[in-house]
Amino acid sequence: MIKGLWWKGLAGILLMYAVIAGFFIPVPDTMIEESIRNVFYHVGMWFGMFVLLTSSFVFSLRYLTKFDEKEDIRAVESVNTGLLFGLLGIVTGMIWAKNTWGDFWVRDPKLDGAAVAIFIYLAYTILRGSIDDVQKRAKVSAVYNILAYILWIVFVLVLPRTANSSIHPGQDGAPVMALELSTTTRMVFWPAMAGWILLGIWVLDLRIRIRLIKRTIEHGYGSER
Amino acid sequence: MEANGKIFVVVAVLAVILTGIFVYLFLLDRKVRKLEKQAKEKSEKKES
Repeated sequence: MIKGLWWKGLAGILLMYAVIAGFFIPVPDTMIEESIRNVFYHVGMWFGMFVLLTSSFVFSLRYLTKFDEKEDIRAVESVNTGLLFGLLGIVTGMIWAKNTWGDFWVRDPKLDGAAVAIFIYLAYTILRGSIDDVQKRAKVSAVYNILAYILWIVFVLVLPRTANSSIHPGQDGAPVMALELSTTTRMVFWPAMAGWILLGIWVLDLRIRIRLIKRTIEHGYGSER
Repeated sequence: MEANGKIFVVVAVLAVILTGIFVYLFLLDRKVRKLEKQAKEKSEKKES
């Protein structure tokens, strides 16, 4: 993982800035009014999830090239942390949807795609739980994880864009695109995204380190090299 | 939004919570680092 403390402090500074500036800057007057400020927090969950799942994908690829159990641990913890962010993204999105579209869930390619993607990764954790043999579990789940990542890209990034009917912002034709164009909004949005991503990496870093310590203890001291 | 006042109270509360979470994470990080050191020392002792 990234060495040093600086990036952890940076995550704190960026998120503090996002919370303070996020409430005080003027926002464009669109149909969703002040709730546009959610974009600094809700969208951060998805940015965090995206980075964590990408890291999981990379660790699974690395596992399949050298069959090192540590890479498997890194991959599964990336998925666990990514799922945390994804579930928070869904819940915060539901609160926002209720107040914007009138319902917690609306039929929309973006929302449905996100839900399917979450289920694909929940299936990953169930798959892991069903295999007792450590090496077999690592191999099977690494292959599944690579497939899951490709499906995630398709369901969350590709299909909603080709569907051409999403009311969720983030693509042409959807309402509230004005937010993307406002310079002041952008000056909070991107630092906030960086802050959430760094926070996600930090939580992942802690989870991996704890698992590696546990592994050292379980396998007896000296197996760590 | 500031026009109807008191939003700064909410921001202050959020800032305190955020600070708390980050202080907590830093302490947790330190704890993990100590455990890593312990595990490493023990494993080196066993090898020699």
